[in-house]
Amino acid sequence: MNSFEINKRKAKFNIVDMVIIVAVIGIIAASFIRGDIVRRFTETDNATVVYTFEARNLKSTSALYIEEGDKLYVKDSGKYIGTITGFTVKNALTVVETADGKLIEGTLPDRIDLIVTAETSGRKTDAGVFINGGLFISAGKEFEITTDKLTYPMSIENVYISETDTSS
Amino acid sequence: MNGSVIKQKKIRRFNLIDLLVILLVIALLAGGVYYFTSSERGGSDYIDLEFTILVKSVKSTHSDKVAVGDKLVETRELCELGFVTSVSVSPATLATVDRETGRIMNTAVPGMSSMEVTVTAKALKSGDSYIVNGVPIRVGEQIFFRVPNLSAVGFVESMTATGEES
Repeated sequence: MNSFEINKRKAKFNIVDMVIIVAVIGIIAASFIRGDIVRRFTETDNATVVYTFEARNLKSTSALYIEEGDKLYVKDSGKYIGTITGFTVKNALTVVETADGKLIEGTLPDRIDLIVTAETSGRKTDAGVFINGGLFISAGKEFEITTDKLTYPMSIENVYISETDTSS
Repeated sequence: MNGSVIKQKKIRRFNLIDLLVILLVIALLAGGVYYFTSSERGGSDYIDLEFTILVKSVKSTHSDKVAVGDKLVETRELCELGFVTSVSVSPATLATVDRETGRIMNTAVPGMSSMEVTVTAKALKSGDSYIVNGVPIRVGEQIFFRVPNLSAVGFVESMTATGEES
């Protein structure tokens, strides 16, 4: 007698499968709504962002290591944040207290302040200006930045948008 | 010779593992609903909270970069803390000493300003504490924040619960 046994396991759709599917769909939908992911996927860097920043109280010889065309990176993350288009070197300013308790501005010997202009691609939204894929930038924002030859802390002074030709 | 085909049909029974998976998924769903909606939806524990952040020293050229209506975002947790309802700017000061007379005085710092930024938000009352979008708001709490045109850091100077939500 031959018996041919077939173990046939039929996968049936059950309540556990239903609950998991509903949960996954719900979480994905909520992420899109809450995380504004649709906007993030559809918004592109369609403008040129120009910003100026100040690097204060650097050694005067630092000016030898900066030039137009230098690429700027955030030191911690290595993220590219722009290319230098111009810079000005000034005597470093500081505030000192006089004998009668007044505060006055003075210059520090052998120290400089750098005022640098840089540009990169970005976009302007209701939440502010974002550069290079989503880094928020505004006046007052501080970075430790690095180029090929120099590293220094800086503070953003001003940000503005110059629309590119691609944004028709 | 007998060719009999025996089909073995495995009957799936609902078991403890299935129950645990369902409970886990329901818990995740409930947690997700709470997390994603807690800032938009009020409830009996949510109140209107008005608090003021003091930025002690900011460059005077930046003091006009916070506007009424700006959305204020806490930058460490990247969560919204509310909307700016007023901004007050005054000269930043530092305690200095007149060395001749020994008098201690508050002296204006050249080029620097102090800002008081008042924010209104929906806060969750937890005991005697107020929580806005997961951030505890207490007098003295340091707040790293941004608005569309400025990034700054300040301290909560004062706060008032302005109403109860029914």
